[in-house]
Amino acid sequence: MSPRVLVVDDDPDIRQLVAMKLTKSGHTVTTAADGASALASVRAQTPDIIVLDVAMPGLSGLDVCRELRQDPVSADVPVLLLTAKVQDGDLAEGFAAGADDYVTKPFSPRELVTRVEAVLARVATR
Amino acid sequence: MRAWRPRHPWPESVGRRLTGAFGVLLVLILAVAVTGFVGLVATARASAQYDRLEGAVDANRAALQAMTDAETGVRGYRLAQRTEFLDPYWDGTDRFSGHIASLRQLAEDVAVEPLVARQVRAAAAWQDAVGRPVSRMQSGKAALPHARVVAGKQAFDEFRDANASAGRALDRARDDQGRHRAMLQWLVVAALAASLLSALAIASWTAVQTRRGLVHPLGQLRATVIRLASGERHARAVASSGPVEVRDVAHAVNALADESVRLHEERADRERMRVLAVEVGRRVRQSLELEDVLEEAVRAVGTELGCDRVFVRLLEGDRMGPVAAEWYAHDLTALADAPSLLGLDPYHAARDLLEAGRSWVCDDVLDSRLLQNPDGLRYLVITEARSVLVTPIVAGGKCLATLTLAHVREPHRWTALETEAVEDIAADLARALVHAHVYAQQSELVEQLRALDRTKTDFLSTVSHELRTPLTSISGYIELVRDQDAGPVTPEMDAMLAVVDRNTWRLKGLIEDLLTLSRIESGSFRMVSADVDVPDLLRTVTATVTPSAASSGIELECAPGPAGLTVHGDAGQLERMVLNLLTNAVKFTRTGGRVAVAARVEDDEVVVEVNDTGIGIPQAEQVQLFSRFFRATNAAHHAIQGTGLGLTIVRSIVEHHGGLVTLRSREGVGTTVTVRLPLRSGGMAGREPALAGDVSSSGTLS
Repeated sequence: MSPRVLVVDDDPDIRQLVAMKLTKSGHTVTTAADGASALASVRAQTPDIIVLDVAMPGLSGLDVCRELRQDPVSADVPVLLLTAKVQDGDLAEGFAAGADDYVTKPFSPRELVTRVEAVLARVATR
Repeated sequence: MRAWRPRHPWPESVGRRLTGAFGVLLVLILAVAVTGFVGLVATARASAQYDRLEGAVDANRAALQAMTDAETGVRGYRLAQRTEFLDPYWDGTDRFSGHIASLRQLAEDVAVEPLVARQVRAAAAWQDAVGRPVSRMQSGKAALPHARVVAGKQAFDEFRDANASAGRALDRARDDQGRHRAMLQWLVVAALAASLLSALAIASWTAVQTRRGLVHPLGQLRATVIRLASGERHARAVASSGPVEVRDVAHAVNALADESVRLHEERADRERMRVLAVEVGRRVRQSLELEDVLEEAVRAVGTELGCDRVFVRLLEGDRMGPVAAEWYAHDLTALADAPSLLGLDPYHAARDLLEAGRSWVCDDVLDSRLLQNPDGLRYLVITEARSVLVTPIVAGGKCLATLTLAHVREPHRWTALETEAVEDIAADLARALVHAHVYAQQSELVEQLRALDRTKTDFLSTVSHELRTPLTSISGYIELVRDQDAGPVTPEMDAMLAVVDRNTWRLKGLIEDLLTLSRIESGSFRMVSADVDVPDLLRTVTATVTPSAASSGIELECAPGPAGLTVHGDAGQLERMVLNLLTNAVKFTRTGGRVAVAARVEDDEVVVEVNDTGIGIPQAEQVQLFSRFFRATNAAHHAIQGTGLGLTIVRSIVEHHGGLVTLRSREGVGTTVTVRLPLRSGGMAGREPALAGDVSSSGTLS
C-alpha cells in the first residue's frame, strides 16, 4: 500500500504542484488549505507523512506541528516543513516544534519527493 | 568625709607650696637670727651686769679690807707708838674711799646704797672717834679717852655689820644675776635649736614633697611625650592629679596630642573625601544611565559621609522639581513619597546658590532662617532634617539640580572638607547629567535608526519571501513539464523552457544574495564564532567549484597554506565569502585560463589570495566594484551573468570578521583579490576597508 501524504499549503498552485509530483511518484495524497482543516484531516485519517507550509494565515505551520505533537494519535507522524525563510532561528524553531525535516522555497519538486521518501525511510527504521 | 583622694598629695600649685615653704623657712631663719642677736645682746648685758656685781662684791670686800687695815694700823700705832704703823691707816682710809667710790658705781643698780651709806657713816664715825684723834697724836703714848675707844669700837662694829650686809646683798644680787644669765643663755640656745630644727623639718618636708609631687608626675609626662613621639597618637598625660603646674603641662601636652590627632584625622578625612570624590567620579563615568549614576552617587555619599539622608532634586525651569534619586537611613521614609516637596524651595536653591556659586550650609536648622518662614518649616517637617548641606549641580552656568545632604537627629558641623568633596561630586554629577542628556538623545536617535533599519530588513525579508512563493510555482511547474510529467515536450520547447528555468534560478540567486546582504548589514545575521581551519575551508570550497571550472576548461589551483592556520569566525560565512570569490574568478576567466587560491600568514594576519587570468576590471571602475549591484562594463559586454552583489557580500563578511579586502586588477590580464583576517584572535574590531588598494600595480598578475 502506497504511503499516504497530507500536503498543507494555503497557495493552491503549490499545493497542486506538490500533490501532482507526489502522486506521480506513487504516493496517496490528500491536501488541506489551512492549519485547521489539516488538523481535522489528520484526526479523520492519520497520514504517513505531512508536508506542511510554514507561512499560512491563521494557524501557522509551526502551530499545527506543535498541535500534532501534543496529540498521541499524531505525535509520531513525520512532518516536513516548506519554508521561505532560511534563517537559523527559524529552523531551530521548526525543529523545536517537532518537524523532521524542511525544504526551502523555491524547491525542486524532484528534490522534495526525494526528501519525503528519505524521511519515510528513516521513520520506517525507527 | 572625702570620697576621692588625689593620688598625689599635692593638688594645688607647687609654686605656691614652695613659696609658702620657703616663706616659712625665711621667717624661721630670720627668727634664728633675731633670737641669736637678741640672745647675744641680752647675755652680754647679763654678763656685764654680773661682772659689775662681781666687781661690787670685790669692792665691798676690799673696803672691809681697807678699813680693817686702817683699824689694825691705828691699833698698832697705839700699841707700838711707831709712826710707821700709821701708814696702813692712811693707806687703808685712802683705799676705803676709792673702794667705796667704785662700789657705789658698780652697785648702782642694786639697792645697797643705804648699806654703803651706813658703812661710810660708820667709817666716818670710827675715824672721828678713833682714827683722826690717834693720827693727830704726836706720840702713841697719849691716852685715848675710853669713851672714844668705845665709840670707835661701836662705830667699827657698825661698819663691819654694814659691810657684811652689803656683802650679802651684793652676793645675792650677783648670784641672781648669774642665774638670770644662765637662764637667758639656755633660752637662746633652746630658741635657736627649735628654730633650726623647724627649718630643717620644713626644708626636708618641702624637698620630699617636691620630689614626690613633681618627679613622679613629670616622669609620667615624659613617658607620655615619648609614647606620643613614637606615634602612639592616643597616649594622654594624667591631668587630673599632681600639682597645678604639672597639670598645666599635662593639659598642654594633651592639647598638643589632641591637635596632632585632629590634624591626623583631618588628613585622613581629607584623604577619605578625596577617595570618595574620585570613587563617585569613577562610578559616575562608568554608567551613562542617569538614574544609575544618581542612585550610585547618593548611595556613596550617604554611606561614606554617614549622612541620614541624601537626595538629588532636578530643577524644572525656576522651580525645584521632584526627587530624582535618594538614599536614606533605614529608619527614615522615602522623600519620593512626599509630593508636597515639589516646588518647595525654602533656601531658594536655584537663585541664591547660583549667585553665591557655593553650597548652602546649615549646621543646625534651629539656628537658621528656615524656621522663620512657613515653607522652611514645612520643608523641615518633610525632610526631618536637623543639618542641611545643599550643593548646586551646575553645568554651563546653569543650575540643573541640587544635591542635598541631611543629618536628622543631631546637628552636624559640616566641615570644609565635606563641602569640598560634595562640590566635587556635584561637578561630576553635572557632567553626568549633561552626558546622560546627550546620551538619551543619541540613544533615541540610534533607536530610531535601528527601527528604520529593521523596517528595511523586514521589508526586504517580506519581499523576498513573497517572491519565493511564486518562484516556487514557476520553477516547480517548469520542472514538471520538462520531466514530461504532463506529456511529451519537443526539444525546441525544452530549450525555451530551459531559458525560463535558468532565469528563474537566477532570480532566486538574486533574492538570496539580497537577503543575505541585508541580514549581514543590519547585524541580524547570527554569527557563530568558532575556530575555523583555513586550509580545510579552501579545500572544501575548491572541491565545490572544481566541476564548474573543469566544465569551463579552467585550471583551478589550491595552495591551502600551512596546516593549523586558523581564524576565529563563522565558518558558514567565511565559506560563502571564499565561494563567492572563487565562482567570480571562474566566471570571469575564459577557457584555458587559470584560477588559483592560496593562503599564507603575514604578521598577525591570515592572507587569502584568489588570483585569476580573467578579463580583469577596467581601472576606472575598480573603486565602485564593492558597491551593491555594480557590474563592470566588460562583464555585461561579455554577457557574463551576475547580480552585482557577490563582492559586496564578500566585503561585508570580511569586515564582520575584523578583516580587510583589497583588489588589484588589470583589464585583459587578470584580477587578484586579497583578504586579510586576524590570525585566530577573538577581537572583531572593525577596520576601514581599503576599497581600491594598490589598483595600479599588476606585478603579481603576470
